[in-house]
Amino acid sequence: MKKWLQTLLLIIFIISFIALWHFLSLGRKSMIFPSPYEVLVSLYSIIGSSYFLPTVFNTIKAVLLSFALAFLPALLLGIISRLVPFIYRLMEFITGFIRSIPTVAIILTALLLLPLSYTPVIICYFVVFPVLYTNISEGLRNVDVKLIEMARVYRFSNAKIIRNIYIPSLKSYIIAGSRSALGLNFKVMVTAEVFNFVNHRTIGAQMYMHKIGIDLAGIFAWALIVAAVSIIFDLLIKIIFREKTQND
Amino acid sequence: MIRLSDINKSFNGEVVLENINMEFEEKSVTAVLGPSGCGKTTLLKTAAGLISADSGSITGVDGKRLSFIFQEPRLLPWKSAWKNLELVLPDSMGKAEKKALCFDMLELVGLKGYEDHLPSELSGGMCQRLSMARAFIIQTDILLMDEPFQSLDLKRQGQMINLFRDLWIKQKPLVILVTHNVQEALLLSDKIYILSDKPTVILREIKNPVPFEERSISNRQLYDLEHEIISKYIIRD
Repeated sequence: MKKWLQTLLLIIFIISFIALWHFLSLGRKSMIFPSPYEVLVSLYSIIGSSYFLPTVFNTIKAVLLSFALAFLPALLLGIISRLVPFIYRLMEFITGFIRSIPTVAIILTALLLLPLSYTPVIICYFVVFPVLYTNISEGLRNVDVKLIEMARVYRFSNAKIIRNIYIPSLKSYIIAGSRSALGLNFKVMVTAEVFNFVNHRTIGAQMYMHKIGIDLAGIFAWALIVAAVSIIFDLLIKIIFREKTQND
Repeated sequence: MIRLSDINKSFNGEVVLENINMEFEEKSVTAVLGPSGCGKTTLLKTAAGLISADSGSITGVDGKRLSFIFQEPRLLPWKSAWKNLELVLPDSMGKAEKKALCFDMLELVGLKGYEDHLPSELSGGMCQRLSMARAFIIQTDILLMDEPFQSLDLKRQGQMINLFRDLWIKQKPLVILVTHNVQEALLLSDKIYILSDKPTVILREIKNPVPFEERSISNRQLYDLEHEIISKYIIRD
């Protein structure tokens, strides 16, 4: 399908979605089902407020901090698990266990056991780490052994093998893992912030306050902001790695 | 000269190579001819030191520069054609010198204009030519070839054989060619070892009666020899 046709179909889909939303909201009160216009007004008011930027900044800061905290151990353990089969099996068990327990259980346990100011970051760490670790670990296990054999024949140094075979092989797994992890991170971070009311200037806390005020339009508006920020970061990852690939 | 003496190799209790004794002369091409799955690749990898033999000895490989043309091109998919060649050049060489050498070699193998193409943007035959260019761009002492033309159609096989002959005559490295194609072995090799099915033993050693420059598929002596090999060792039942 041609690109312009795809874009046209996407625009038609979005317009149809908004029209359906508007149709469903007709005759209903804003607190039960806000119309697109009401959400837009709420969004405008939030973006124009003095607390908008600090609120979004605080949530992004926490997301990036938990991502960075998860990324380095995931990379390190991914490499170790490639070299030590026992660590691989142990990590498979640990990450499988973390993945299978409900996120809300992690959130509630963290809220009870940890200092409140750190809980959203710690919660996200536990949710994001298995995603990153699994991608890195699988990436390392899927490096083409035939390329390694070729490199050995031509007597590449270990550094040359890592630079020219392992890192490029891993790149697509890291991109995929980072995109999934960041998307998930924004969702879980906002959920954790709803439960953790230490800082009012976070997106989750703002959503909670709109909930108390039975302001569904405000909740929808913040949800749109979270989606927009998450999409921007996703695009940033794609742009950074695409440019890097072109420079190789 | 590479000498394999009393080489034995088993995998999971199955004997693959049994008391193999072979000699590979300097500045010559030796073919190892045998049925598919008889252990030819194992023999080649053992000679290259990629696999260790259970018993026996290999002399003449230590300290030598090795090149390998595999069944599949084994190119780095994220590197352009010339960067794939550059990788095998010594780190001590200057960047401009490396680039010039790579571009010259690409021209020699008919890939001029494709220097910046990725392997995915090249055809199978072009990738195999690139793989051959990689093998010859270093002044190699020993070149190992593992059925390098197997995946190509007949026309491309002919082109690759001619290209190999052109490149080999310039450097004359010691070549061990593993193949199950009798015609390919006769056209390229000075000596042929014919192997049996597993456990692999040497059935016969043949010196090619036709000099390198005179070999062609229309040569009567090669034609007769090809039919003799096929009737005696390939269609025996």
